[in-house]
Amino acid sequence: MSEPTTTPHTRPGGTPKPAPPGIDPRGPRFGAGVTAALLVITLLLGTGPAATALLIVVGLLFVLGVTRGVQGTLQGLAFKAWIRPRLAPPTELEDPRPPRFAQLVGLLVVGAGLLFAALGFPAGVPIAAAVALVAAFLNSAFGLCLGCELYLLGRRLAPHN
Amino acid sequence: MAVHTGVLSSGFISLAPDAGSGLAVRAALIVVLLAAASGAWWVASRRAARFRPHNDHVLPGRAPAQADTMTSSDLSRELGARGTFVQFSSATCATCPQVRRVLTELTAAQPGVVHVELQSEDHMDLVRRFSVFRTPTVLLLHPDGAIHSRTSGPLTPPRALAALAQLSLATPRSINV
Repeated sequence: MSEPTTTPHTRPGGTPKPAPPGIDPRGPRFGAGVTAALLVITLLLGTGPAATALLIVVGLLFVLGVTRGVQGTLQGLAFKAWIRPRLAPPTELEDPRPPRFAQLVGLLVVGAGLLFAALGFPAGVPIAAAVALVAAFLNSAFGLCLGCELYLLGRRLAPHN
Repeated sequence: MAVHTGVLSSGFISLAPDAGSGLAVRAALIVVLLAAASGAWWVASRRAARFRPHNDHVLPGRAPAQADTMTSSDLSRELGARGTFVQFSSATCATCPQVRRVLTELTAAQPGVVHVELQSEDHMDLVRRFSVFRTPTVLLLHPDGAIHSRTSGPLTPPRALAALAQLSLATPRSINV
């Protein structure tokens, strides 16, 4: 067990690696709004090829978010190009790592749904879309990052450390 | 569009075989889902916003002395003479910087009050011992390290000050020491 150390609160972050440059927190919220809208359409389509295809699109957007960060998704680029120039400068910047982790959680949820659909359980598509919709909606409407909250729970369940 | 009527999907989508009313049912289910999520968020955020007395959170079967007191050796630094805010943060925590800012400003203005920020990933033993399930979680300690109260999620300066006032009321001995 490692010896406990404290982080001086005068230095932000306190993580071993220096924190990456901050991003406008309204970007991920806008992106989550777009994701939520796509998921609503997915749910309205029910089951079938159209719904599955749209959920695959959402999954691909999550892949972009995991590999490039939320600012690198299509929604993030759209926010940067068209929306942020119309807004006042942000009052504070956000660490890009939490929303990126949440993109991974979203990808796992959507991926599980698509897997179930591929295995012959078409209900996997709307169920995964509903779970992801709740997270995306809460993120967009209230700024609550549900995926980020899961991080510590996951760490607690890990057998060691 | 073909509507599947499998067992798993029956409760979710195929309440009505007719496509038009099926769409209406799905739309209604989406509205119910989002309303329920909003309600759950509202209840949870109201509950998390204030400091709660610590004893609500001691899990049964846990050694009380261990889970009730944090020592200066746990934290590798001296506790505050009036009180100590221990903040559990993590790398994926979006709200932690805001809480850090609030507590840093508060401790700068309040002599004898210390703010300690821990990265949860590096202190999983403390995370388990003190039943921390989300970040940020803030524990407020008595001068002797006994846990007075805790909160999680976003924190406002008035809430933190109110908790500190409660702590001072609960430990009048610390004023005379």
